Amino acid sequence: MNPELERIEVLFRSFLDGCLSDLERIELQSYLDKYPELKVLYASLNEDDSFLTNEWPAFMALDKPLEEARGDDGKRVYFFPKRLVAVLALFFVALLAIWLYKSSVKADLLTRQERYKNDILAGSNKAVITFADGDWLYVGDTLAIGRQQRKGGAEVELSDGQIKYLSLKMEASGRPGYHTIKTPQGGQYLVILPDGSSAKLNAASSIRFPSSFNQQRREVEVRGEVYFDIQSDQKRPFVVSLPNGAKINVLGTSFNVRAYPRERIKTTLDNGSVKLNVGDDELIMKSGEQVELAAEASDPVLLKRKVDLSLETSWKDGYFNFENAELTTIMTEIARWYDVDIHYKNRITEQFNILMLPRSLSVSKLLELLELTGHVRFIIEGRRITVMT
Amino acid sequence: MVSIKTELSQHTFNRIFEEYYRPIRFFALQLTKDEQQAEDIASECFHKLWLNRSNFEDIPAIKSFLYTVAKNTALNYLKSQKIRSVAHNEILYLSEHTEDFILAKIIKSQLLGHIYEKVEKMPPKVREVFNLIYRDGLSIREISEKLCTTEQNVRNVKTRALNLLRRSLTSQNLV
Repeated sequence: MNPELERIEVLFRSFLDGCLSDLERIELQSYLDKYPELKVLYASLNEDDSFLTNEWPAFMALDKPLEEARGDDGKRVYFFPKRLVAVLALFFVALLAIWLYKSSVKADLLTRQERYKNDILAGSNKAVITFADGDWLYVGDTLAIGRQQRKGGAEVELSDGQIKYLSLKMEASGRPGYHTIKTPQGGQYLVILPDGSSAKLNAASSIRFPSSFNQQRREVEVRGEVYFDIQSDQKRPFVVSLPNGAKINVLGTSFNVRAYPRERIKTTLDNGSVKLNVGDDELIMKSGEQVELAAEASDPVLLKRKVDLSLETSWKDGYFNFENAELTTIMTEIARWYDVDIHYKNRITEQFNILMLPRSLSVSKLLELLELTGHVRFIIEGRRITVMT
Repeated sequence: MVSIKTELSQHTFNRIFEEYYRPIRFFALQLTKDEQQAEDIASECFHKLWLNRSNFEDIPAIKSFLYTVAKNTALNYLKSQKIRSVAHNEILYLSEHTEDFILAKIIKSQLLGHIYEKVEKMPPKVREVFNLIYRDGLSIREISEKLCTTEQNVRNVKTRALNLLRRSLTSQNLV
């Protein structure tokens, strides 16, 4: 049986229920492209009520005798004596009372099982790849494509969790098109650029580069968090543009860029050296240093300090590391990696230390560890996490 | 990986039967085009499930088992026919040579099961009108006469039924 069946069914059901998210829509589309018969089915679902007109009689064909057990004029026949109905009603009132009582009980009286209604798996390899001609591709766990293909001006090779650009083609018009790789919340992906440099994207991040990338200059734009490992090439400088207009000039080195919206931009140098340009300011960074920039270019606060590299860049090796961190910082990271919403019932001022915790843990395991500090408790309901004391 | 196998209880078995009997029967009907055969195949699937009830880890595994048995039984039935219709030949060919033919049939069966659950939850009057329209193929006029009400009323109930089913019908087309 096809292993993708379960996922495809979920997507189709969400479609019928009208609750397909944008990303799921893209995922469904990729299955429709892969399996033409699904496209036919999908088309029939979209034609007003013809799906019901065509299929429902066959689905219900052999059910008719059952229906006839109901009364002649279409009314159901009730066999319950009135007394039993009364007893049942009383029972339901009692149930309702218990339920109302329970939901008013304070959270700290609830057991872990009552608070953690479900668990949420860790993020995984997935991304949306857009090619220079506008063509796009969704890549995820369920779609492993282990072959080379030519797509919109690029020759690429896809394998588990990574895309490798083998070569780029310039547009005939001479105007450069852009290639973009974007991860959703709960996604990560490795990109091997045409020059052999690699860029590992954390959740909710993107990287964009022109189809002229490989020529005089190697220029990329990033959002979110990306760890770069750049191939040295004296003739073709590598430039990373940040959302606030700052630029990082690189020769050959590895470093981490963190530029999420509404957060300070952090560049951390693993090894080698880079030059940072913000407006007229220029700054040379050395190995083990971190520079913090304001998100707005008009107010470029430059702050340079020595940091512990194993803490700052460990996400790429699959670990969470927070040292004396505010809970809100930790929860923002959890929201991105587990694709959940966070709600705060109480303000929590304590600071937390989480060191070398695998990012592959499910969310309940992670929250349980935070609860062990005794400063905070959580409720998991669907994809919503409530934080309280 | 630790896998825990538990024996299906009678209660769980009944629930699975409720949920999957109609989709499986519909699936078999799609392949055999024969109502009696479809009914027999569906019964056989659940009989086999009961005999194997200690061998399953989770619901997807059970679902996979049911559809696999249904598919094999249906195709064996087709092969055993001495004289086959063009449609049967086509079904046999597509089932054995393409991946997506059976896949789409399973998804379709499951979606109808999903719709069935929703129809069961509709208020009785709404459900009745829904089945008169889509199961029995009656016109709005015929239904209004049968139920002694106005045509507009029947139309309103139909709209309500469709809204309960899928708000999505036309609002979110893919390209």
